[in-house]
Amino acid sequence: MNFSLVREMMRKDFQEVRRNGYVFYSLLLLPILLVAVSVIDSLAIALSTSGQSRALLSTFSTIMVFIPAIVTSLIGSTSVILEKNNHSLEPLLATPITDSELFAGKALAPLSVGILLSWVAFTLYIVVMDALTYGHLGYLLFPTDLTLVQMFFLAPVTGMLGTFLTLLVSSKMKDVRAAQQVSALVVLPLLLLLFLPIVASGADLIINFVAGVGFLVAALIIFFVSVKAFRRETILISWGK
Amino acid sequence: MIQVSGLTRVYGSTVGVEDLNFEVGDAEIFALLGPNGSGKTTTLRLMTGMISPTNGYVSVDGTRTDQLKLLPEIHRKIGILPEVPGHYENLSAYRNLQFYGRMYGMSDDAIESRTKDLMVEFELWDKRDSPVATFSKGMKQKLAILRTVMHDPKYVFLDEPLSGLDPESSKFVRDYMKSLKENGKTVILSTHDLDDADKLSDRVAVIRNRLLAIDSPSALKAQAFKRTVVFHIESIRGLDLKEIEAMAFVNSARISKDSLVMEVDSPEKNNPDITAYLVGKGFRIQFIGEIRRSLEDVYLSIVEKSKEGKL
Ligand SMILES: Nc1ncnc2c1ncn2[C@@H]1O[C@H](COP(=O)(O)OP(=O)(O)OP(=O)(O)O)[C@@H](O)[C@H]1O
Ligand SMILES: [Mg+2]
Repeated sequence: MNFSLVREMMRKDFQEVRRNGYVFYSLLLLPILLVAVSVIDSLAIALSTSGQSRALLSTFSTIMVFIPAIVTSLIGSTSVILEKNNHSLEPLLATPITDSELFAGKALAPLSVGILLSWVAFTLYIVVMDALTYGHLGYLLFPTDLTLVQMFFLAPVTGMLGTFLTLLVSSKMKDVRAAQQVSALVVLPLLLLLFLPIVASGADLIINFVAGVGFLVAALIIFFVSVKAFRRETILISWGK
Repeated sequence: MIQVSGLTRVYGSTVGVEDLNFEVGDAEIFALLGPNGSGKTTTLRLMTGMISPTNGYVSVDGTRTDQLKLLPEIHRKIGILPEVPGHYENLSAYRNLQFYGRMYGMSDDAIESRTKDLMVEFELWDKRDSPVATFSKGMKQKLAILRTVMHDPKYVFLDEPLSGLDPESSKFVRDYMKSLKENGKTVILSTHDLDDADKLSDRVAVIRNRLLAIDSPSALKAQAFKRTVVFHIESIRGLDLKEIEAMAFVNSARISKDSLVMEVDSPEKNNPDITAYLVGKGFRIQFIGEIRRSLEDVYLSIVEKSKEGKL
């Protein structure tokens, strides 16, 4: 795999997405919004109650695990549908790029931004929560083991799941908004389904981990299906229909 | 050299192309000519390894295009202009070309100088920073052709390169193709414009999902038709067509207004005899001419015959 090709493709995708104001500003707003919601929801518990119910706090940070899934579906669908509408995949496929490099470029652009934004959000949450509670509690409440597992395992894995699902869905759609909506419709319920055990268990570390493995397996399965949808031949012969 | 052998591509139950056999030599302008749906795009995509054949193969300088591992190697020496230009419309013309240069592994310095030379030559340099979305159709097509030759490929494949261009741009692009050939490059283009194929190409392959004919434009014209002569006569009334048709060297004869139109074996030999006959019958000949067939006539007759199953 030639990573300089992949990197250039990612750079080009970012530039294109950057020029799509709606997507760009959604991406900026999302982490700020989710951090604000999480902080407001968890602050009261953090300040008032016993150590035991403080464990519940981590269910609030769980919401930030959604960031990669949402971000990847926004960026992924935008970049694929733009290529489709521009008919720019055929000349791109005429270059010495391999099918796997094309797929890697298309997947890594959303995935890297998705994971990065979720880390920004987690960090913000941790810093803000610690700053607001330290005076009262006298110790640093965050990060907990659970936030670390969510940040470095669950978030990347849901990002992968969101990316591969979005690429697969976008390969079958023509319109940016429709692709974004369908991706969201497919990705979000699936995530919610997988999140139920986490929330129900009161943010148990093991259950989080198991759910993460579940996402990973789902992501891998969808990876193989979507790689097929991105073969040169498939793109040229079937995508136009 | 490009070799096409037994090349067949089927889409479900539709035949894209069937059993194509031909070779394209170096420094040649080669045109694929055929009506809509005749398999021109399919052939170009097969020749460039963009899609795989159902049967047969294509080799470029001895490397088969269905060896996916070697495809990047092949793609480094070919440029492909698809039917639709396919630019990144939100990005500037320069950024589009830079992206492609990088995809071909060119250094940024090389990209800069090459892009400048080409954009100046194609009269697009002033527009380099404008988003491609603001370009006219013809400008987009020129930019796409420029993109196709960015990495200085040995083989240049162009799917309907002249469609949508005004006469001036069209001439510019035709001249550019000729200059590619003069620089030792091979140009393979598809077109349904006979005039372009006639003016531009060294050889023409007429296809209608199969190869119907392949030769230089002039040879195709000579093959497809016997030579046709016309005698304009002051008053043609009373001419007995039967007697004309009975002459051994006349293949066919008809009367059109005040003219006698005949397909003959050799006008140089036969015109004096026909003249002598007509004068002997008291007809007053005003002038004698030969009908020059265009490639269009050839093409229509070839395609017509293939429809009737005669080819
Ligand atoms: N992706 C596809 N799926 C199914 N059939 C196809 C596909 N692409 C082409 N065909 C069929 O293959 C045949 C040849 O099509 P092709 O596009 O190669 O013709 P063409 O000569 O380029 O036509 P045009 O002049 O309209 O561009 C047609 O019958 C077409 O319907
Ligand atoms: Mg075509």
